[in-house]
Amino acid sequence: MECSSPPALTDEELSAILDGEFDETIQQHLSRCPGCAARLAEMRQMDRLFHNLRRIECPSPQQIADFHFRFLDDKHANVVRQHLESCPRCQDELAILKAFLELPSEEPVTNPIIPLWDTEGVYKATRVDTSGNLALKGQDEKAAHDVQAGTARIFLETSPVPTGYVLSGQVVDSEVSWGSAVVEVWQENALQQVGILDEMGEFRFEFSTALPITLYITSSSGVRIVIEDILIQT
Amino acid sequence: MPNFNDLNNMDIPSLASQCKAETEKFFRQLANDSRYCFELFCRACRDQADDALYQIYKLYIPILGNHAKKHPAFDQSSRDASSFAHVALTNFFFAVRGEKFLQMFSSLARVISYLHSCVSSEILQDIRKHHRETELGENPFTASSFSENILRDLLEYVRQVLVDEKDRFLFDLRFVLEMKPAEIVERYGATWETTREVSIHLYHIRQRLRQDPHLRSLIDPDE
Repeated sequence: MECSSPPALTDEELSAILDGEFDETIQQHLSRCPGCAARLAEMRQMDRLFHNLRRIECPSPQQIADFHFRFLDDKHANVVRQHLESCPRCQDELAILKAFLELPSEEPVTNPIIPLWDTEGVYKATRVDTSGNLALKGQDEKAAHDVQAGTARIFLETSPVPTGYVLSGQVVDSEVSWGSAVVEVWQENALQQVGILDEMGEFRFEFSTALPITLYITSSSGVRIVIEDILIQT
Repeated sequence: MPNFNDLNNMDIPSLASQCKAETEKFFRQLANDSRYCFELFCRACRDQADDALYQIYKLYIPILGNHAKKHPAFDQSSRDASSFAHVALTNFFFAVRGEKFLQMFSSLARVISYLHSCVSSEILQDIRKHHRETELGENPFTASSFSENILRDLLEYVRQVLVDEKDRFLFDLRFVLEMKPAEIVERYGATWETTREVSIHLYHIRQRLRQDPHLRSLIDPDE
């Protein structure tokens, strides 16, 4: 496609646009010239490919923090130290961390613990057909609710006990290890209990009321799932 | 003053109640005893006691959330303070649980300082991630389409294509560290004196890379 408002923008000018270096004249030219806009879009393709390389060699912020706290072994500490010597971005992040650690703590006025399951990167569980065994269990006093979240299948059972109700379950996953994951138990948008899954990914919680339960589970690798509104059959 | 046996024998609700009271004293800048909270952290992290972990969540998420708001980079982040506190506390637990806890910490001050570092890391990680997404816009080549190994190979390949060391350095500044020309001039003024100089240099780098058949094939498989 040719330039509709000659003279056409040069490749050098288009390259400068990709770096955010352009004036109003160039912006106006681009807005009325599909030809130059198309050339820019083509040039931008390769930039977009390269933008995936962003911070690829940088240690994570937590690795930088662990370096600062001397929690890394010698080998990893040396890697981070060498990187810090040449990386202005990581140098900035270390400076920010140090400034943050210097700040005095202040008493929170009102800062309730809010539910987290609407944040990105959380797998929301959906109901699936109940498996045979648990369906059989469901015929007595127990109610089974199977759900799927990401690659995890979660088997859940609720049942009455003399003191109230019990929710027990297991997280089974071929991709993610859920042993020792942290489970937060919520009712009515309030954190009620926190537990740690056993090595088999199993858990058991007791409740005094039959309000719907939401479980928020974080694996040690940072994978998070939420199972909302588990109903207790009374 | 309790002795260590008293602390060891205290049940978790009593420890939590004392920890809360001492924390309030701390915030009022009154004399306080940090050993109750330290013991509560021990029970939660070293012993991995569910009840203690729950008490830690209840007491510290609001405190950490408040502190997160004062983080120097908080305004650039995309989430609310409580969310950072929440995830940071869980990350903290995974990082220090078991016998490691007492190897890493001998005082509450050190525990809280490390907790703060977990909050900072979560905020900075969020900024890294969202900065990248903003820069990329609707990108057909999102990082999720490439494994980390493929991206490392790509970087290695680009460094081979750019034979000049100064080209490679500028490529890293612009694309790996995502510095704009003005920032490059500010930090490396001895090498590039003006933004125009940087822009022209980047133009030549782009031209060189666009001529490479392998790189062209990555953005246009039909070539």
